[in-house]
Amino acid sequence: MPLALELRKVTKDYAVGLRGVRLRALEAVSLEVAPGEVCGLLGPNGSGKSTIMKLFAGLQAPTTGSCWIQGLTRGEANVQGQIGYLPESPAFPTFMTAAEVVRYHAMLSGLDSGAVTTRVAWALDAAGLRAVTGWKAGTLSKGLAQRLGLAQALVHDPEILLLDEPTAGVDPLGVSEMLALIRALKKAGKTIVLTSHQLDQVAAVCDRIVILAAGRRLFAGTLPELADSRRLFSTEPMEPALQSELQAWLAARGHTLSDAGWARPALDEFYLKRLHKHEREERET
Amino acid sequence: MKPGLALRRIALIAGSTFREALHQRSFGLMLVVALGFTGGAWGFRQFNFGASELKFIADLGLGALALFGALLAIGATVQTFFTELEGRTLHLLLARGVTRGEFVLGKLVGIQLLLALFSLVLLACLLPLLWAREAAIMAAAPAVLFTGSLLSLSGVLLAAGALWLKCGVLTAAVLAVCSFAGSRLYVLVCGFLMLIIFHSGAILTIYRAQSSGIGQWVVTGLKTILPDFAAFDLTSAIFGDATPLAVTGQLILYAAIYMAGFSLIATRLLRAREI
Repeated sequence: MPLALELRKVTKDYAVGLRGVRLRALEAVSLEVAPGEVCGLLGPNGSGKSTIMKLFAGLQAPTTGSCWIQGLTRGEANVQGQIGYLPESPAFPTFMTAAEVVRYHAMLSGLDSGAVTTRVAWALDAAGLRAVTGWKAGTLSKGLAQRLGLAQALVHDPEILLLDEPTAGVDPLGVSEMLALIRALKKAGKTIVLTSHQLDQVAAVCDRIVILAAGRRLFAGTLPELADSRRLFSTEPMEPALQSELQAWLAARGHTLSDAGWARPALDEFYLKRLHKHEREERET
Repeated sequence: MKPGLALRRIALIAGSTFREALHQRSFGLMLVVALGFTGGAWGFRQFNFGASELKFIADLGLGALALFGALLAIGATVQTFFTELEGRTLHLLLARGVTRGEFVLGKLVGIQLLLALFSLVLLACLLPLLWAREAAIMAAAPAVLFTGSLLSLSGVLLAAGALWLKCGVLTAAVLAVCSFAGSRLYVLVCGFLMLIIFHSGAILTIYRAQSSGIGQWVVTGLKTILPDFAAFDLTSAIFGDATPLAVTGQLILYAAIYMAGFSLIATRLLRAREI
């Protein structure tokens, strides 16, 4: 089975200004995302996260290296139709209602007229927009616009979802709903790549983490791999009821429990350590 | 790709562009000013008499259509294109598999729909004016002087249609500039310059006759490549000078070639642009 998404030693340069000065956004980055996997891209601003998203979405081409989607290059077959893309801070035609925006994108995707109404209703519902379907897109708050972006990304039932900072500007309840939706989509077998600055959110839903800085890949691996290799754990308190149950279980076997807690991979600690190390190396060179 | 999907996408983008342009204040402003010009012809009619008066009204009405239609073509194209680009709605379209060509054609068709609406509203104001004055003139003059009609309905429609095609060529040229330009102001300036240059066919002809050597080659090259907007002036058809069908067909073909050419350039440039 081919990988859902793959970058092979991709370098991406942008031409800046009238003189066309080259600005390197990515340098020899390789990345593999398996089907059904949720991959989180982490990194400071300007690290190349959005560039990777644009490469996968077919908005840009690599300067060198290659980009593969379900084992095909961008030009082959209808790979773009398999992708749902939520850009960072999405905007929509202000004169359209939320329902019209999603319908417009459903029809652009080539959905049959009969399926459009059903899919639009499902996508609006899934994104938590049922109450505002008749609102003009120009009047939506940042959080609601973000949800609308998610609805348009989902409407054609793509196999792959690219979510560029999906929770930016969304209220805590909305974040919780969005993370639940991502988990549900993962359960349905969708491949998801998301970027975020919220490390706890990434740790909550992602199988694989990729850390980027200055266009270079600093780390790629699963959360357990990260924790095992670095012995970085944080301890979170265990629920009292569970702790009592555990204590009783141990007591029955002649043991005592002094303390109990959940060991979780400390993504934030690892992330900051890795970035600081990278900065030191950069300064030294 | 499903058959007909490209056409559906072009139609959807055209519809969205049309609706967006219709919501812009500039459209309403242009329409009001152009209607003011056209209606104003009624107030100035005492400066001309007989057929000249009708010509005056027709010239002012069609002049308003030509001038404000061109301004609208430039302004609406720049506005709708950069709104998509800066608002990143273009990202969503391209990520969905919409091609750059479909996007450019959708924009062109959308603006042409807007210009068609603009032309129809102006014609709805101009035609009753012309017919009312024609009826008054014919009633006042001895019957022996005029028989039938002074004006040709098909001629007025033809002249307006030619102006609509001219605006279409201008829209396509502006789209070509939009596809690589970094700012709205730059495209607006280029749009106005193109409007002037494309009207300069007669000047180029004179310059070609007066120049020699490389200068003559350059002018000949420019005259061959650039569209000549003078070809779209069919105002003589208003007063019954029959325009052969072949000429109409040639004009449509002439406009279609330039629109296709500029659209192709816009698509190529947009493909090379970092989004």
